[in-house]
Amino acid sequence: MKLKHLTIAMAKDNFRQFEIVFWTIVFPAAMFIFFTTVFSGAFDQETSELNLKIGVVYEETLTGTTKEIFGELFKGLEEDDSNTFNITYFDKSDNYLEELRARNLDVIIFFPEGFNRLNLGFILQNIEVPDIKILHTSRSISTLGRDILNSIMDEVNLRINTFGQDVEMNIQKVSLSSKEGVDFNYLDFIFPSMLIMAIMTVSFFNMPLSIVDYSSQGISKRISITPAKKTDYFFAFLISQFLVLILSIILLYFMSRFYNISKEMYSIKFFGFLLFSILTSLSFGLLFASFFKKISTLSAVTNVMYFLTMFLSGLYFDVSNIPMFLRWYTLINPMTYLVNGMRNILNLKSLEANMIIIPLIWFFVGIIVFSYNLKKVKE
Amino acid sequence: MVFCWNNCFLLQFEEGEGMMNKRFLNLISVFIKETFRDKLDVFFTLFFPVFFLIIFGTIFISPQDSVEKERLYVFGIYGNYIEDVEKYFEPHEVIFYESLETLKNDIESRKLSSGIEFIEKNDVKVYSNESFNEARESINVGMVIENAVKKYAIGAKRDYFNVNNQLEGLGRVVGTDIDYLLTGVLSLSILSGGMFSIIGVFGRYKREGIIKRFMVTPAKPWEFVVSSSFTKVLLNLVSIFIIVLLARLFFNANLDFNWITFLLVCISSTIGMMGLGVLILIIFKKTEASYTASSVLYTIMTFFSGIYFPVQFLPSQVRWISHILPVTYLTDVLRYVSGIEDMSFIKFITINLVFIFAGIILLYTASKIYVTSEKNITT
Amino acid sequence: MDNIIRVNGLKKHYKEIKAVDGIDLEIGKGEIVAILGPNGAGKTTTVETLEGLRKPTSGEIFYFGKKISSVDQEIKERIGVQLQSSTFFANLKVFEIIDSFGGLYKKRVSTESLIEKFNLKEKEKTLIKNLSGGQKQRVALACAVVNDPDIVFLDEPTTGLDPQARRHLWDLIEQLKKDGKTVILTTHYMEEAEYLADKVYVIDHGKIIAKGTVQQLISTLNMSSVIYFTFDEENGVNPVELFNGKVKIENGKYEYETNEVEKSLIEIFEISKNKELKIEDLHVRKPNLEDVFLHLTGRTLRE
Repeated sequence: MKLKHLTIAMAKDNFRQFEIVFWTIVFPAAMFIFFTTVFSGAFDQETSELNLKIGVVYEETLTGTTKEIFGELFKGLEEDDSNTFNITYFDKSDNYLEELRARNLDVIIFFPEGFNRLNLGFILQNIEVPDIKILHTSRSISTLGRDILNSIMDEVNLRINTFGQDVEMNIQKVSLSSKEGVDFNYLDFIFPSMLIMAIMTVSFFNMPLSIVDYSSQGISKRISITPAKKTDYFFAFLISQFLVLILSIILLYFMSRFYNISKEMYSIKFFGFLLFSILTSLSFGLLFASFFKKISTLSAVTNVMYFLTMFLSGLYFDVSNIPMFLRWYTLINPMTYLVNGMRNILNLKSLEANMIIIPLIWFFVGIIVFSYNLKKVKE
Repeated sequence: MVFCWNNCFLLQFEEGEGMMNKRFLNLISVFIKETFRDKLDVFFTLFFPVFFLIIFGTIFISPQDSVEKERLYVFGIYGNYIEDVEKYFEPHEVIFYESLETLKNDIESRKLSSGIEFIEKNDVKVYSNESFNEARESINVGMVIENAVKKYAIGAKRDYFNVNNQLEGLGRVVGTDIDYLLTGVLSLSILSGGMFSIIGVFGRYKREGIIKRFMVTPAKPWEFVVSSSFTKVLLNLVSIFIIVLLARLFFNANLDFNWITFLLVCISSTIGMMGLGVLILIIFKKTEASYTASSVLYTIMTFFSGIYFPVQFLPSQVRWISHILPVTYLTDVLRYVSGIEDMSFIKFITINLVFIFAGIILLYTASKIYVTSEKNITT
Repeated sequence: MDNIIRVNGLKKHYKEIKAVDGIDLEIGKGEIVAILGPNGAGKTTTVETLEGLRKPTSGEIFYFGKKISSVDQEIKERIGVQLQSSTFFANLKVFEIIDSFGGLYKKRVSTESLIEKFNLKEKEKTLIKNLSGGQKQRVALACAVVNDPDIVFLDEPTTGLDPQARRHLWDLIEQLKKDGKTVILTTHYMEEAEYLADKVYVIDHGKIIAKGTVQQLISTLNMSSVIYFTFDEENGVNPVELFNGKVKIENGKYEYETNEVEKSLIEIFEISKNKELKIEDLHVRKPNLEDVFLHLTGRTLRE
């Protein structure tokens, strides 16, 4: 009964704080929408909304087969349904470089004078090979355009070799990040990240700050002189934190229904691992609260740890290859293993031993240190 | 006797210039001590931009990459291939493997960009690690491999034309990836330094009664506002110079600053961002809500301003957002003063003037609302 | 006596709330004037209006004999203020805070002399955030007089302090008067007003309900003092008879109501000596401002 009343009181206290509701429930959901909207097309060229502005400069008018080939090529790119390419034509007297600098163009393909000798090159072997220039800038969209045009020109060279015929090839792409036969899906990559983000918000901020806040305000002291037991207080606190987190997870699951995420997210294995992740992460909150009594110091430390962990756990991008002076943190930090564990499950890969052991070690460390400092925390 | 506009902005000489200067200098001295002794404030103003620089610089930038040339990859080859297969992958490096497992391991450990298993001449498997970092690049790798294996399949003897890439400089120096990243980090640092600090000045100081205490002295509202703002500008400048220094030391940043215009931009933009902080305070009223809103805005600006990836990567429906974010324009002027991009002088002056005037007007508004208004001074 | 501040019909209304509803004040030069009332009576609103932090809804304010429309720079140079709740910059040291406030005025007292005067020597290099409540109030008081003001406003200066710190602050406030300053003090502590004030204004619900010296206010009650005492053993004696009916028994104690306290005390001692009775728990309760307030409002100051 006491546990119930305490839990209700603490839960109300949590849910009436705008910052807790916003950062734990709303923000991960918003970030999920953002990441999926922006980046899920990154791996799919066909769904990409990249709009590359290409300038085509003819120093001399193309003739013959050369004209046909490149004319068809650019026409094909322009008429592409996905609007990836936007082509503008210039002759040598136009100010195409100014257009490039002014960002009206991303990249320029330049056909210099003498390029028409390609027509002879189709027949004769000893003709000097003409050059195409690709003019680009340092901007990343421009270097991307350069690389794309390089590949297209490579393809043109190939087609000339085959007299325009496509080469029959069977190219099977295998992603080593997922189980063989399963295509890489960005959504399977980001969904666990959002779950971990919600969990981290509770374990790095809500929990430790609430523990220290209740202590410094005298709330825990006040409750300790009631008949409620210490265990009642402790469990009521944990449950109230858990409730906020559960809502966040439910919201993420609800939103995931609108996206094509692996059905493994409904499996017992995934739920089990999710629960394991929650428990191990919450012990972090206890660890922080054990060491810092002042809210201002605790807030600073948890902020730093949150950002460090967020960026160095592989939540948003791969960190397996970063220099050692940063990588040591990814290796000891349990969030790395928890998020990878979830991803493995979604990608039908098996869990590795370190995905369980390392978070478990942190879990016990958190519990032991907290228990040892229990008196200090509750005072 | 010279009167200021509404007694706030131009100098008022009726009481003697000497006394006003003395009071003003006194206030500046107070705020400098208070600001630079607030370890948390100093730590966050300096720490976070440096942290982002190191993380993003380390993860996303490879110092040996040059924007001038096409990126070179390393491919692993295994299986049933003929001896001169590497010719078709030129100029990229090729390593031959006796074991498929070793090939896969080297791909997973990022020693290889990708791996190709030749089953037959027209039948290949391409192994890769797909991750968010390399999203766009993996498309490029795929195109390179596709062209190479097709050429191999048909035994393509020659290229009919060559492709030369030519880098067009946009400014005084050729900017590398780290230079573009650095200017982005500087923009975000100026944004956070200006926006969050002013919320502290008007929100926190008001809540703690510090504004009220000063308002019963002869200190004028504009003296209070200007001296407190000046100190935050100073802290921001320190942060900026530390970031530039670290970028030069650790990442060989190439930037060629015109230090005078750089200083002008830092000051004008900090004032502009302070104005943004004031706007947020006016809209959200409470300090905590303003901090939350600023954090959200900061996150939005991080992703929508083209700093970490081109705006073209965003869905077309949301690209317009980047055009209304002040950080987008700030990044542009920083790239101009650092020499990596060009800009018309009129545009440069206009952007700076907009920052300064918008900032001053909003700071003046804040002085009216938070430093003279009875409702906001008294509890 | 010249009035250094005069207020006629001061009102401060916030929509339906009449925080100050027609107050008249006359504050003489060199006086300590207490504005006494419970929480929410309108004390802080009144003084903050005089300090210029709030604009009056109506009424007249006269400073140094001149009517003012607002508290301008000239007046601010001549007044010192200790607000009810204000913090200083947490990361400044004591001497730096006093210095910084001193630098805001044309005329100022040296920081060293203030540190000596307010007994802050040991703490002068301590950060504000590391001071105790009493020390912070002393710093606030030092800042309030750094410009050697003619008038000092103190808004509940001893709230939250322990009795020793409170007494110490009273001594400092008395010293201000000796230095020739006029002190306007708001408080809800009756003892503070009784100890310090030359004149008291009792305020409730935004109106002055009584004014005068402490003695004048108490005398309006027409109340006697009461001497409380008990005897250790009565040895068969009836004290009521002994004192010829002047004593009554209430809750096991004897109560002797009298307007001549000294004479009555002598009587008690003589009787106890003659009858070999040992007196215990003797104390005298005089009518005080709490009684005045209770009489006027039906409530105590602390309600």
